[in-house]
Amino acid sequence: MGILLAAEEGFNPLAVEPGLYVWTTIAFLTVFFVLAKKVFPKLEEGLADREAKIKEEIEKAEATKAEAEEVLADYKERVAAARDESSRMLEEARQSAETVRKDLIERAEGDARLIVDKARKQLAGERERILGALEGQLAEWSTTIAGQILQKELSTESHRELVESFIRDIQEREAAKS
Amino acid sequence: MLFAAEAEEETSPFVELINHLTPHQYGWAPTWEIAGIDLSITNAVFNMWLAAFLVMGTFWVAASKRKLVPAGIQNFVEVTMDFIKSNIVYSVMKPKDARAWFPYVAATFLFILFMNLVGLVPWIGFTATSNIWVAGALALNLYLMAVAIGMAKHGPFTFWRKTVVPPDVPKVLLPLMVPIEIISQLARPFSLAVRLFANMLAGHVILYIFVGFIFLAGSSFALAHVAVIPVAMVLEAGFTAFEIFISFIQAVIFAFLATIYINDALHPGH
Repeated sequence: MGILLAAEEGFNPLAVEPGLYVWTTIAFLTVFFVLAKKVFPKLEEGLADREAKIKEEIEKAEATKAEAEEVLADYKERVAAARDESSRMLEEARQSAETVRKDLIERAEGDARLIVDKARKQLAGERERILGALEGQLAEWSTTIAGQILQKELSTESHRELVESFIRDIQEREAAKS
Repeated sequence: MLFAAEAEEETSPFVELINHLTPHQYGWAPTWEIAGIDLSITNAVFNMWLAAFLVMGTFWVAASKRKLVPAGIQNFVEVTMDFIKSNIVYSVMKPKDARAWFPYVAATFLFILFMNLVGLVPWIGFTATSNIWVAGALALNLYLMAVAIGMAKHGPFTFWRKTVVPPDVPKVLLPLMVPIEIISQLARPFSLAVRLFANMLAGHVILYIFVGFIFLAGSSFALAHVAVIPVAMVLEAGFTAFEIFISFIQAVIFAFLATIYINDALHPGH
């Protein structure tokens, strides 16, 4: 009812208003030219700058990443080379130590053999010397003992021959036993 | 102003409110008439220039104080530009045409959107696009411009031949198809204008009807009328929110159809 009343009192949505056509055209053209000439170029420039900046940053990041990957690959390569080198050096050291050990053992064994041989020779010499001395002493003691037992005086030469003959006899018996 | 009018004479609040949908000259504004055309400052003229300055001001500020990382108003402006580009202009036109016609379509979209929204601001109370002459001016200018571009680019004969004679249609059907195409072409500015004007007008009529209920109850104090007030207020708030959405949708539709019409003029017969 209200709308009908309004219509009766002059509300007409289709009323002829050519002035509004003119004002709308002027207002729109103003908006269009201001936006097209003064605003959008600046905004587009700003967007282009940002796009370029982002592109540049991405390129930088990609370059840095590539560099980092290169450095990492180089590092890995070096670590692998160092590991190989250390393994090789360790193996060499092990082999060298083994050679030295064997050499030292051989040398020690040789020295030991020499010392033992020398000792044996010294012992044999000492033995010979002691046996010689013992033989002389025994001969004297035997002569003395025999003289006392037999109460018979024998010449020194005769005694010696007798003792030596006795010793030889003993040695032969020993040799026969062994 | 409303209560003063009621005091002077027993006018229905609906009548008073609906009269707000008619352009009227401000008391302070001089009467300008050039070549028989009334160019006086009305609420419709005020609304459209307010919208125009708001569009230009907002985008000017955003363009002048732009930063590499956008914030605040620059964010709003860039998001709006991106929306117009990706959803309207570039979705219809080839990139080369879209670059050239983006400013026109964007200006159309923004001007209509801001006029629609300004009309929803309390105390302004008039939407310029709810007037057929405002919507008609935008639609007719657009259509005439599109036709002029098409004729300039392809020559008048070729343009109209390609426009009104559909390709790959049997010759037998041409007597039927050509008149349909001519009517379709003539209907374009009309439908474009009426769609915008009728939607905005209908929305405001509904809003004023709900407000009218409130004023009617206030004047009578009858219990049945007073009980309507909360319902009317809730509906008023809901429809205002819906009108904001409609304001945006209508601007999008107008801009989208404008893009299609320009594209048809650039490439008739496709």
